[in-house]
Amino acid sequence: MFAYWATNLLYTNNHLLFMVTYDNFILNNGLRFYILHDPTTPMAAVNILYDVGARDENPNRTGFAHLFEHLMFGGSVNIPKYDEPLQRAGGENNAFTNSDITNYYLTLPKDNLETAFWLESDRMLNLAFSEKSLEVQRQVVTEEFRQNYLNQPYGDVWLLLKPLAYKVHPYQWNTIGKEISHIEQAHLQDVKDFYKRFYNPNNAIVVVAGDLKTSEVERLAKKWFGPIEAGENYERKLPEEPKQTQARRMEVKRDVPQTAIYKAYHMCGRTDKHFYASDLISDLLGSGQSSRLFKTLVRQKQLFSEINAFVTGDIDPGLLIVTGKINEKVTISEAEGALETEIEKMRHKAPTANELRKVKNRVISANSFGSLSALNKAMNLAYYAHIAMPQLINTITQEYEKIRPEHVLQNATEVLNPANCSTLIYESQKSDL
Amino acid sequence: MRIQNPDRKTAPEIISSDSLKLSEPTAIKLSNNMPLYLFPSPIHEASRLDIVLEAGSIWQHKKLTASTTIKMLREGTSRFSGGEISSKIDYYGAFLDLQTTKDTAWISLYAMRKNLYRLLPMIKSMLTEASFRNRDFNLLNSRQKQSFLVNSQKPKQQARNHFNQLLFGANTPYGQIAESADFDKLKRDDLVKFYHEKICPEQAYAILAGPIDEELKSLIDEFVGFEWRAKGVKNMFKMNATFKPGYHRILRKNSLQSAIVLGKTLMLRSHPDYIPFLLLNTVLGGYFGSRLMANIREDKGYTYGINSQVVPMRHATVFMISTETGSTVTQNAILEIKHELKQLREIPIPEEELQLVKNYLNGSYLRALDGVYNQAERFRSVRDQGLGMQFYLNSIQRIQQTTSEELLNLAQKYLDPESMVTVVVGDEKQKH
Repeated sequence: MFAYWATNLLYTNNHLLFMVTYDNFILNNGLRFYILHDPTTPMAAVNILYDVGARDENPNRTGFAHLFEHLMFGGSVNIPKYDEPLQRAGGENNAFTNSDITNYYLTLPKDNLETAFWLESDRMLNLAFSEKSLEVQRQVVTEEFRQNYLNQPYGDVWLLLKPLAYKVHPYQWNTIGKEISHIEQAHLQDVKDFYKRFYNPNNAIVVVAGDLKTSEVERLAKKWFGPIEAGENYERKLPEEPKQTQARRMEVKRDVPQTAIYKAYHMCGRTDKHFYASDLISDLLGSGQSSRLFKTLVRQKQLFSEINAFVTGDIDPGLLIVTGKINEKVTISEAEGALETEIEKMRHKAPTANELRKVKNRVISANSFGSLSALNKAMNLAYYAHIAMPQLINTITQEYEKIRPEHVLQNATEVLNPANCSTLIYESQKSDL
Repeated sequence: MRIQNPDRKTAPEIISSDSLKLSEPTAIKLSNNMPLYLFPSPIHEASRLDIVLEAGSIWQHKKLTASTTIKMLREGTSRFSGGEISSKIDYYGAFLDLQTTKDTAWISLYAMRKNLYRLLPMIKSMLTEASFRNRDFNLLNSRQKQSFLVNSQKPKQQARNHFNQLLFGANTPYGQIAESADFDKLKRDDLVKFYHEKICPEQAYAILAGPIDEELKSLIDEFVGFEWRAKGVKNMFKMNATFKPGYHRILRKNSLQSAIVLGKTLMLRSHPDYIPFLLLNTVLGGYFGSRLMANIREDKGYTYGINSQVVPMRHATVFMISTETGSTVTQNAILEIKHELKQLREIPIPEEELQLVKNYLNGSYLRALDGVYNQAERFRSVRDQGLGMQFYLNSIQRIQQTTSEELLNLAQKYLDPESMVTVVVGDEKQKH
């Protein structure tokens, strides 16, 4: 459905009062459940994470995990329409697919929690595969491809940047797929095989959040999900991306108002202990108006009109990306030179304690604001449980607190090495319309 | 051992919840007579403070004045430079949002309660002594222009802008749309004038959500509740909107999709038809299972998404259907939209569907009003039209009472496509 980008990374407070409390259990078929207690809301949130993403796709059938997410709304074996009964229960739902996971979530008044279990368990049990549903969703996804990637200014940036940065690992393609033809070629048999391989209770995590009793959730879980048979365990064997040793560069011309520059640096995966240092580096560089790049390149030197830095946060080794739009009348080489100078400074001098404090404070408060929503907490807990660290729901900010200025320097020296960088120059070339 | 399957063909019983507890916020009067509305929640640490000003774009004499003035507040004051403001906001992990709508403008500050005393002096300075330095203005203006140019390339944005102009008239308070040249015409003095005339406590109000104590109330009185400017300048509002229904096509060469917007102006929020119309709009295009989605996305696959919405403003309400479809199916999509409007005008909505939508909306209200921060946000959107939280309680009740006959009448009264403006931005000759 609608793509989701986790902007609301959250935080929990150090006070005991604000600790998130949760229980968990596993059904005999391997389905893992977490119950997150939030007495402040009349709603219940249910998040189901399936351990399958675009990285699990056949290189000649890309975009499949996401197309499949659409098909999960096309009716299941006993329930012709997923949305109708949910809406009748006052519920709302959505889903997103990324390179690593496919995540389904809903909220509804907590008294109707059983409706959610009924619906979700039926589509975990079996789908009502139909040619019509596949045909329509192929078209819908084709329109999504056009709308978000082809018919928008800068829409194809990711289609260019990922294959530049990744030569071997499946992160080289985007969740939407390499090209429209891959989606057009999806057959019903592919769909069935994919379902059988990945949509099993032993390949999923369910988080339920709200003012709920664990015993009641457990009763409903056993009733609706208990009878679903486990599938075969999937063994993931993905090729490792070899270390990049030479700078890469790609230049394209497009009909856009401003030239944009993208620099993608390889970094560690989400579960690596260095992840937090790299994440803070991206914040120091380009998050907010007090960041280094904004201060020097936007405010002082006025070379860029906007500038950003962020990490992709993928489970396998991901990317730290720096991106900016260059002001009119500024040459690419001038802008890029100044940008590289700032990035290089990060590799040679550790940030001050004060500067590091600032970015940590931002992480802490973003986490705190995000924790106001039960659904956000449920999504985060599901993801942390997926990477085998559910306790992060309460300790994530402590992980950031551990990072010291010398860690940042050490990590920056390695990650921000020019030889580790893929640069995309997206040059403005105005057509005469 | 196999566990026995439950009866999966029968839906669990639906329990309709009436657990929505809602009351009007307590209002206290600050020393400058500005009301401060309180949404207390002792269990939270985060505070949200909104200062809502009578400074929307309808009051500007030159395009872009209102939005640029409010954005300039964080670019520097006589006490803090723009860089200092950003550093402070970031250092204390706060978020500052400066927004303008057609009717009002607001400053929203999200911060930990314990950090507010460090941030509020800066808010005071922004309200009273913003410096509007030329260098800061030129930089912001040029950045805004760049981002405007990128946005104007998006087909959906192009369609919406044309639609808005056609509804209200290009040079009216509600219909004005900025163009690239307007950024060059905007001068620092326009902002200074607007700042002195419109950023004032008269007719302004504040909303506070989160933990609330006496100390915090007096902090807010100290930094927001003082007499920070004499009376502002009152202007007369002239609506003078007279739109003509019709079809407008704008060529966007080689576009792979067409952006379609179709709609009209409608009754104000206070009109008795307004709440039942919300229900009708939901049936048509206001939720995932709506008729437009079911037909045009889930049956025909013409689009990634289609919706209809009701946008209430102080002096007008806009109703619009919008979508982006494949170029070759543009006309088919429009025909299907018209078909759905016709169905609503001719055939009463079946009881089962109506009940589903009522239940769905009930859940939506619960969601939208869940927690004090959401309630504060919802309050802001009705307060402007002289309404309070009671509006939501009335809505929930009124929606449940509405019948298919009423909706049929409403559809006949309001949903004739001949009474609407249609804008299509695209290139229908483009082959995929």
